[in-house]
Amino acid sequence: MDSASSCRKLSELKMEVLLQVQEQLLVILQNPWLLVTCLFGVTLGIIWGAMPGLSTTMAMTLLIGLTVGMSQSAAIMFMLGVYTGCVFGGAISAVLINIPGTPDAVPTMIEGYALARRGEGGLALGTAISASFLGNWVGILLLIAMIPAVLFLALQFRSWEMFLLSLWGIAICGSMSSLEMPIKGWISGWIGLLISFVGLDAIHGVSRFTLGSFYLSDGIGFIPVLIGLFGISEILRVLPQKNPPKIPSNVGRVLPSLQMLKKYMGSSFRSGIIGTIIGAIPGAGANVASFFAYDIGRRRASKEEKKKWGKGSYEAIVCAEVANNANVGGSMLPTLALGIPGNAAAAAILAALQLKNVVVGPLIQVENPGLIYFIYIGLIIANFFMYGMALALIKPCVRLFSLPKTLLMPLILPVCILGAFAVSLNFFDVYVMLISGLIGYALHQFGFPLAPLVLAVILGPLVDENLRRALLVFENVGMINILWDRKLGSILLLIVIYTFYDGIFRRKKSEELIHD
Amino acid sequence: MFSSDKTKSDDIGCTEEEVATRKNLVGAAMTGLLAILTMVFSLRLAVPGSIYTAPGLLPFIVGFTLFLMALMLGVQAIRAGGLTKPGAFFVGSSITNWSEEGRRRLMLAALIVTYVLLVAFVNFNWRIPGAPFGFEIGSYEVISVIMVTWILYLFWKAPIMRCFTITVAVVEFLAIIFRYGFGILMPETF
Repeated sequence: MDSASSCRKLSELKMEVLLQVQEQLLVILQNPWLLVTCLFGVTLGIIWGAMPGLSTTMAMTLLIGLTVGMSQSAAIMFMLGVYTGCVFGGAISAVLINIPGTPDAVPTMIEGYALARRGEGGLALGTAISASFLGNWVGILLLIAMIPAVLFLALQFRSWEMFLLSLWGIAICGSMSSLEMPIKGWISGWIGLLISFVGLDAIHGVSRFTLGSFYLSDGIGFIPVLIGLFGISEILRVLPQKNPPKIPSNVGRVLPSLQMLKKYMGSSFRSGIIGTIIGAIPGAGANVASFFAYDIGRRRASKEEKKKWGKGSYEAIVCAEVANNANVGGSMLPTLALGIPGNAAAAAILAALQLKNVVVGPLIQVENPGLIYFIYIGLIIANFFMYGMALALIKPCVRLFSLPKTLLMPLILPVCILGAFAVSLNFFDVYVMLISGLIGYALHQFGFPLAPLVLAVILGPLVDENLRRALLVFENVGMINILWDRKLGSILLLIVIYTFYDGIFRRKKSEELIHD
Repeated sequence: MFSSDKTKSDDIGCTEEEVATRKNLVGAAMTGLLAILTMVFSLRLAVPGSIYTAPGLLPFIVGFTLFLMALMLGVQAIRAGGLTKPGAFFVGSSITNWSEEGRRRLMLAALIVTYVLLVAFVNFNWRIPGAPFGFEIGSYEVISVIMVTWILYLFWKAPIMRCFTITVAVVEFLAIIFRYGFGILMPETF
């Protein structure tokens, strides 16, 4: 095929994409009911995400039931609204009460809560909202523009690469949440991995560390662990204090200045690209994306900004929030194009689509023409609604969470119990939550960070299965061949080794430099 | 992680840094023990297929590397003087600190455990006759109202009626949202 005909084909393809986008935009705008369901989904998502421990996945799973009576388009708009709202909502309780609504909000919690205690909770949330808005845009636009390239990169991730990526996620999280002693962060992550091994092994069905308990055969769910570690242990830590820390009720400035946004534009685009690519990799979720972008952001930050990292940095919030929101768009790509969900929440979207007789996969554009574009336009509209609703809800949220902790903390208890129970309607999960809370409190007392533990519980099954699959594939292959043939894996391996090396040997030096 | 100021944090003359170092030493010992137990239990797991897919493979690797990490943490703590003044690690930790705050924390933990156990073992459901939507009150709401009111009264120190009113409003709102909004079964159903 000559270059002239290739150019003509490309421009025809571009025209077709533009026409499809225009057509789907008109379909949505001409149907106010679709906009109302999307707005309802966004509002529910923000409120749900803001509740301590109630995760995006849980919201998506539980709210699928509400879409049964809706049309296909309305159901998709509603679920996209919930997804977008929930991812941002996690930042609200993270910033204001130091309990992340969702696991990917942990970096935002580390930075945002420090700012909130200084009376800058409004601006921290405003920055998170703007970053989320920007992140969604970056994710959607990058995806529309680079679908083939992103898909190609995502398909390079096989078992070995997935294992290394997940392991790296835990290592990064350990380093970042325990800046002065990364080894304590890694120990916490490794304990999380051990917890994730409990239950029936996914390959042979052998019981591991179940102590003969029937309930443990199903494994330990990450949501009860998350609620226990961040909910119950926080209540145990804060409530008995004589003068518990208080969030100032004065919201102050909410929207970041244009100058501030301009300053962090570079970090935003970098984190957006990271979030989209990680979202497009099946199995790697917003958790990995936000921690990865957070770590890269710290490494790339100026010396002045680096000092604020971990103690209340706006740039850090921008990195984490842009990445986890860009992940929403990214995770839709393998879900729709391959039928492999990018993360657990995207799996819920998949379930909602299947409920409406939409079979996703490589033939989606043939069997459901225009659906991909409808979903992307839906995401853009949900993004606008998220921005508006989040701004409207900031002041009430700050006022609510600035109530005395002695009043607020006991009222979180019934939410924790119900949240843990509702995951699988099994009271055993409430016991898991309680024990996790007590262990979390003890770990905190001994200076071990809790975030790597939760991330490892989530990523543990991925690490385990992918390592064993990769080893089986490599059984008769030489080490040199593996390193040479799997270049992406080799790069990831080097990054993992560097992360540990940096944590053990170099971190101390750079901290000394910063202190100087 | 820990403050490096040299203020005395206890009555036997330990600084906060010294207490943190001793905590690291205890943490390393406990982690080391956990790592050894993991390795032992991993080796006892069955190997149905190839060694590469053995269920105990990754747990053993994780146990072994965890042991190395515990060793490194322990060595760091010993180098920082963790073995001097043995027993000082108990000081400054609110787990063993029987100050007023420690006692309040223990009481709170006991109340939370009691709350969870009551929700687990007491099950009943009251249908309110004539109420719309078949409105009902379950043991979860009743126990939550009693326990949360009690905790609020002890820690918030407001008049009991105010604690009760706020708790009823919050618990009922929550129960209604979950039961009727999301259609989730409540704990007493099981």
